[in-house]
Amino acid sequence: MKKSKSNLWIYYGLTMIGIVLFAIGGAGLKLNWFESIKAVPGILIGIGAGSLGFGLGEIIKQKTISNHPETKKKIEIAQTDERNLTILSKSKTKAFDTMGYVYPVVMFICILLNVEFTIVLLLVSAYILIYAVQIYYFNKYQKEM
Amino acid sequence: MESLLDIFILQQYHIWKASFPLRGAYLKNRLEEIRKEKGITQEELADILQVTRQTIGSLENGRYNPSITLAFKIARFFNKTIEDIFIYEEI
Repeated sequence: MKKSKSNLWIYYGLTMIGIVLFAIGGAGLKLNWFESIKAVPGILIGIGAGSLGFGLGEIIKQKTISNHPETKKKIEIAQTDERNLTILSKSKTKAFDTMGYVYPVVMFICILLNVEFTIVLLLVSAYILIYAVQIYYFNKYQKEM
Repeated sequence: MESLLDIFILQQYHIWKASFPLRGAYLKNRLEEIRKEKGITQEELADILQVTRQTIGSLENGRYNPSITLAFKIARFFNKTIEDIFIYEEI
């Protein structure tokens, strides 16, 4: 109970930060505060709206759950249920494998469309990074298990 | 009394059977039967074991094999051994 209360403050904070960022972004857009970098208001509005929505959603969810202890227990069980975790893990594996096929196709299309070299390089490095992460965790779990 | 032909055929059968590699293994279980004997519902068993009702359903249908921890929890709850509930068979 104590843990969930302290968690709630994080979401209140996130909501407040969201409102502030959203307001600064909106005002900046209207009053031309960020003339040198035009993308700033858009980014601020985006991050602000995201954290506002996430924070508010979590607050509403936790408030609703706290009034229904049985639902809260059911959600907790569903989150820790070993079959659910296995299903989640399996579906993530499938999604990762799919990404392994989709990413090269996207890179190939980018090359065919004569997209700027730095963007292709960025895509390739992201692809390599993801596989590096996989190799890292593969070795880590080999040692741990 | 077995005839020499019977013994020969039996021997040949065992040689033939041994020549096949193990094709696989599967796990059956008597969970549904034991649960009904105790007179509890899937929902109640799920609450006791801290899993979802769907997990109990999948276990009973044989669609999902439990972790060794869950198998122990189930066995302890019914006061039985794991082998009493889960049956390992090789094909």
